[in-house]
Amino acid sequence: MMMQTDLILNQQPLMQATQLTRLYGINKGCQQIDLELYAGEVLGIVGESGSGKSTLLRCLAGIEAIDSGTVDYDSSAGLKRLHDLAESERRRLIRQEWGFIQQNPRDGLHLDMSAGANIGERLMAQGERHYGKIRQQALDWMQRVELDPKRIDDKPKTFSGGMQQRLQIARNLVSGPRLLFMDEPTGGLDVSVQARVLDLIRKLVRELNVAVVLVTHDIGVARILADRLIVMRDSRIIETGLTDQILEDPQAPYTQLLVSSILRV
Amino acid sequence: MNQTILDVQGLSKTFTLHNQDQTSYEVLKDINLRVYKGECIVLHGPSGMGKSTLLRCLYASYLCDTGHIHLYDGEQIYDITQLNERVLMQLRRHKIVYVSQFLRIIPRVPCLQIVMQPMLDLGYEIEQAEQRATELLNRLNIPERLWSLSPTTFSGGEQQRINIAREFTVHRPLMLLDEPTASLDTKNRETVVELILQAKSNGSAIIGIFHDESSRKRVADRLFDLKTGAFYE
Repeated sequence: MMMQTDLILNQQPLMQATQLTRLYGINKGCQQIDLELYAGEVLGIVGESGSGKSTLLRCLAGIEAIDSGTVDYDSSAGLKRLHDLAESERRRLIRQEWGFIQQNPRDGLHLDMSAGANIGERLMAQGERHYGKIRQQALDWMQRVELDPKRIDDKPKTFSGGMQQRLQIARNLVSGPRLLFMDEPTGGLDVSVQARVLDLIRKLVRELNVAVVLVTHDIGVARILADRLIVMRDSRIIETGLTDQILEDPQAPYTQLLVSSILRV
Repeated sequence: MNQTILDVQGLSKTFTLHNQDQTSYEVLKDINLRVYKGECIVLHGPSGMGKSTLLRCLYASYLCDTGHIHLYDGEQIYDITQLNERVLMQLRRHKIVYVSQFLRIIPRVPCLQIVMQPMLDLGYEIEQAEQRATELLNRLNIPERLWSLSPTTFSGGEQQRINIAREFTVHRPLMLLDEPTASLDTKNRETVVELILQAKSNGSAIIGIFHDESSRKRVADRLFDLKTGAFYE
């Protein structure tokens, strides 16, 4: 049963931020952020509301302008400095190589388009023109996220919150992204629905070997999904480490407070 | 010649509770220990001596204050106290396993899938992973009707055995066992002892905590006394 495996350690990061800063006010936003993200790993960003974690996510995803610093992305067409890219090139990345899962699925879906069209839009943007193939893929993905394929022609505004979130996940994964950004992906859901969405994300991320930057204030979500954690407070990174190390042996006073406040049932 | 797998030098660990009046307490002080291929060292000492803390330091769940933890892997030597997270993740996947007596349950993931996962992560074929997982579940007396269920509602003993099945599917050079036989009945305890003896004969170095004397006697090559830092044969 032995398998000899060399440890792959000299791989290039998929994304690297260096001294990234974006401030709205004193210590509001994010500043002096250094981080690396590698293919296939889930990096969690945790911290309380207003700590700057969502701003950081949006800067990494190229949605938001930055004041200073750099974000480099190792795209399928070579290394790109994100905030120097032409708008068209940036859009190409967002459409073809990335996904962004919003907390509120209504921000990430076209509510008046059918579920199938929501899933198929990405494929069309990638150049797929064959209607039958697009529909077949949409049906496959509805099954993968446990939505009834019979509802492919229904509009997502008739779906429950949990169903909408699963549709948003399908819409983002159908195009085979290399990098996925998630902002509180289970934040707006009932607890009973959360577990299902969490498990689905965990499973699909593994199957597709996609890298994820996950923002959450929920330590339980971070524990289940993230390999590594970054803890933010007042716009800065205060601690980084393996998820279990941060949660079991937090070093910074704030992280100790954060971890000790989790209710254990 | 004995081949060293792990060499711990001058390891110390103090916890500082910043939000509780900066209280700090020292748990481990200047621990030195060397473990060879194919041997099992059992950590010895009363509760609160830091046996689990030491295992967690070796697994890098706890950060050490001082000292070195050298893991020997053929030509390579890794110092676990100095590695970045990414290398640690790789080591945990391929070289080191930590087996606690508790299963971390993720809602909705069925028992068989949980046990297969480490092999799937290492790139084994599904059939191979399933065969090995099935074999271990059978040996650990988990009835087949439970395999397709999530262990959320299983008993503590069942969850513990599923966790053991999962962690014994693949060979790892270093195994850290935190009371793997606690709260098991005699029959299952015997199976776990056999699995440990098998892992030893496959060349795994094992550091473990065993409170029941019969298991300890069967698996241990040496006892390490945390209080004195001395070994007993």
